Amino acid sequence: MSFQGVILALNNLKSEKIIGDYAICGGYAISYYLEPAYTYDLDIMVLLNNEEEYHNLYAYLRKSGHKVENVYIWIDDMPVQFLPSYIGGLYEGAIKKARKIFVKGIPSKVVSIEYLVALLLKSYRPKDKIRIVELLEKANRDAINNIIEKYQDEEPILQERLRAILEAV
Amino acid sequence: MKNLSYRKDSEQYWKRFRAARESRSNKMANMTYAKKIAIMEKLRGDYDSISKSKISLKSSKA
Repeated sequence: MSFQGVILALNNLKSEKIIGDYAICGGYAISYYLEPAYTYDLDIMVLLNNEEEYHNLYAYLRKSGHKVENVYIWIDDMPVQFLPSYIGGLYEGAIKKARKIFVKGIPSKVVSIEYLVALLLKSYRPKDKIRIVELLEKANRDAINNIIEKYQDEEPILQERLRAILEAV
Repeated sequence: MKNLSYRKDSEQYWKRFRAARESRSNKMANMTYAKKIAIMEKLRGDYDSISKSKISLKSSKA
């Protein structure tokens, strides 16, 4: 029930205009495209214009009775991490181009597989590299290249990292 | 150099293992997201109970 509870809370945040939009990313997005795997938290990208809106989001959730612990906000027994879109164009693009899904009839959004690969190329931890290889088998390579090219000025390292992974496999 | 039989067996084993693993992985990847979420929530629950458990130093025999 906890995942559904979070999705309902996120949809409520959107309808209350506390956030512009949102998209599931991180482990829960990876599991959307690949086999399910254990993940501690739920990463959510939120469309926000500035830090003030980010503070408003935290204030609203605190006021609603949600516990705030380090980077996490506990919603329905689930630690949720909010990543604001204003920190980079790649994040904003990932939310705007996210895929609309339904989970047991509840509408939601998950980042596209191509944006997910780009985001993992940015975080680039050892476990991300393994996931990138698996996701590349299902993703559209041209679309990934277009995303990398689009954010080349902002994230110049992505191209080099993708090349390194493709050479290694 | 002549291949030793155990090496052949091992190669065969890993070949079968990889095929089975890939088949299982594909099957799980094609499940509905709701089913995947249910598995992930079960994994979270199992992890929580394991991480909170204590190791008993007492022997199981009375």
